Amino acid sequence: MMYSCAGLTKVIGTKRILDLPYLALPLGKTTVIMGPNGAGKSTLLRILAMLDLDYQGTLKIGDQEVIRSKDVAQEFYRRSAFIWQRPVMFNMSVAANVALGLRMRRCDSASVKERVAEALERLGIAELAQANAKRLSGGEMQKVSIARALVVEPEFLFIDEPSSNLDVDSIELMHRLILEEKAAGKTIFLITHNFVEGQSLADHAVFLNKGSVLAAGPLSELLSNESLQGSTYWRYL
Amino acid sequence: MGYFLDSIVQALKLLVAFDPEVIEVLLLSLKIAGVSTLLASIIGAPLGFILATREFVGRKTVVSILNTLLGIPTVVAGLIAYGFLSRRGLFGALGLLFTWKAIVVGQFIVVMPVITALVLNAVRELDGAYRLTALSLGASRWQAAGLVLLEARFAIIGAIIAGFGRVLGEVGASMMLGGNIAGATRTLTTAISLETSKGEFAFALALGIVLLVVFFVINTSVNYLRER
Repeated sequence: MMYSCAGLTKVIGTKRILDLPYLALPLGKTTVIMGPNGAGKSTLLRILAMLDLDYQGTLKIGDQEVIRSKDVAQEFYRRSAFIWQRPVMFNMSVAANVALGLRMRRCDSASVKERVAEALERLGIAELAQANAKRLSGGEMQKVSIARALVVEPEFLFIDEPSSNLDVDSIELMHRLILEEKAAGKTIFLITHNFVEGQSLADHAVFLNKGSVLAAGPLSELLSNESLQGSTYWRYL
Repeated sequence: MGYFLDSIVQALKLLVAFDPEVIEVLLLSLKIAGVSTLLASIIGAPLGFILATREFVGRKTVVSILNTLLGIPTVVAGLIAYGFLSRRGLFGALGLLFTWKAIVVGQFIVVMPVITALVLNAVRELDGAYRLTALSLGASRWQAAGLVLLEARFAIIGAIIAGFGRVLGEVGASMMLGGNIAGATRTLTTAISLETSKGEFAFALALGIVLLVVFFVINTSVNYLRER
């Protein structure tokens, strides 16, 4: 089963940000999206996450075509979770921030409390539960955003440069959590500039440059493809 | 210099003695500014929120009009209100001119664009990232708007307090629409103007000190809320 894009283009003003005639990414696996600044990585991630509906082309999840509407997108968000490079914290406690996704999904209070406590414990930030999330350090905020994403047990996980703001121990913890999600069969799309990170987490890779796909496929195949050596993406290896 | 210092001493004596005239003028000013700010907030705050969070045809025009009205001289706001409230005006039959309610109308015209614009800017700043985060957490469009509103609460209260400060310090509309009638329409600013022209410098100074203290409280509150 694949998450595929056909004839996908995104234009802002006169600039073509993305131009992907065809791209298929495996469901239930981890795909790393790499490329230089301005390659279109974040744009592709936002389109796949249905956070950006302003594009041309067709998306399909398995055999089902994605209907481009706010209602369909909203349904999709309830099956997904997102970890941003710069996490946005609401002016409330850490526990309340982590509980937001569960409350939106109308989980009962007892279950919310229990799952939030578990998620905070998993991230090692249980002692911050009552702290105001806006007054945390960048690294602590990133951990809260990871807890907030994982607590809803998403089918799809979209991650944009997860290791920025985190120290070495926290990066290790986050990698372990992503691998646990991967083992549970979640579909994960991950942007990173760190190839070692991508290689240790992902099965599949997409290399973008100036809005086009330079190479895409299973990581093992890409790494052994000699014809790609010397290309832009190779400099990431 | 002696004259100025003597006047300050006299002004402080008036304040320490809780001079009934000073208290009356202060309370009336707070009442008028409070009512006009409340009315302007009821319309301006939701309008600012809608302008910040919704895209619709004519939005840019509304924002342009709003920005033009932001710099409206208070005397022009008074003139507009006067046109409506004078005996031959559209609402002349209500007999509001030279009552405190007429000043409320003038101050409403002054403060409504201020509150709307401040709320618009505060919410606009938050809307993009916070709305997207709320939606990505599974919020419906209404829930996302509610979360943005919750996030902007301190900025909105700050905008309302700042608007209150703006009308408390205005003199043009109050003078033109109220007529500076003792006990009825005399506000802090119109009284300062009148008392100075009468040569009652100490009394005017006492009122000025009261006004500065009120502004200090307002500014401190706004700064406190901005940091929340």
